[in-house]
Amino acid sequence: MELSQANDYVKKMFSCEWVKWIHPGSSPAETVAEKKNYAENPILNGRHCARCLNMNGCCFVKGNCPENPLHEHCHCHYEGIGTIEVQTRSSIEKYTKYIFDNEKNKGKKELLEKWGYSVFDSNFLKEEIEKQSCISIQCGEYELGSLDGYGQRINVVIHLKRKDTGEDVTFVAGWMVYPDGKVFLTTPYGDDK
Amino acid sequence: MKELERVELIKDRAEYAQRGIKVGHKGTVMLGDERNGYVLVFFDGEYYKNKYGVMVMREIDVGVRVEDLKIISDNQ
Repeated sequence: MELSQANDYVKKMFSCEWVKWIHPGSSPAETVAEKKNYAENPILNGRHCARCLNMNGCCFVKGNCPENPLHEHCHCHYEGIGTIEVQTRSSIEKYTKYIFDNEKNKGKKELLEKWGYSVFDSNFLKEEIEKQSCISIQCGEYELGSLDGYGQRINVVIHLKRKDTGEDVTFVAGWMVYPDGKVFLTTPYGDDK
Repeated sequence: MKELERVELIKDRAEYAQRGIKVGHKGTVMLGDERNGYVLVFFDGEYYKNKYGVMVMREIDVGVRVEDLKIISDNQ
């Protein structure tokens, strides 16, 4: 990354104002017991929907966040939190046992191999996609994806260099938003860009 | 339910129908960490030729209740 580009990113990071989704009366489910409790809550009393419970504690850049309220009688709201540290996490198996798996890749293996990458590049791809996504999300450069009972997904544009020609290629990686700035990779290759 | 397991939908619900998913659709669990009773499944969609000339499957990401899924073999 060039110095001028790094400066631009730093300016964007510090100019972003973050907001946190608050579902009053419940904390984000972190432990197995809490998740179990929340899983049973909507079924037992019908008072809280899974979407709102899963959104609780999730953070977004103001102006690039899901609409609130989500439904009639929704009592969730946003609170300003200034800034946060985004943490991107992904598993190596998303590359070794999905992108490069003979049965499950659904065309992605051929695509990556066309660009010169193989299963032996899994660690590089994991770290590169995590790094680029972390910077982009921190700067608010993401698109909101689907929102349902599992929570809010976001999409980030990734730039790679083909190993054979050095040409730039772009695609979209998918991420799942968790509370307090944590995001987990759903797919390394979601679509073209 | 484990990440990257292949699954099949066994119960219809309006929330899945909104995304075009119904009983019999197959997919891959992309996040197996259960959140309020749901896991994240990428259901198999149509193949399309992407801008790099490769046939790639379009996948449909849907949060699905664990009890609405059955595990199938990897090659299905």
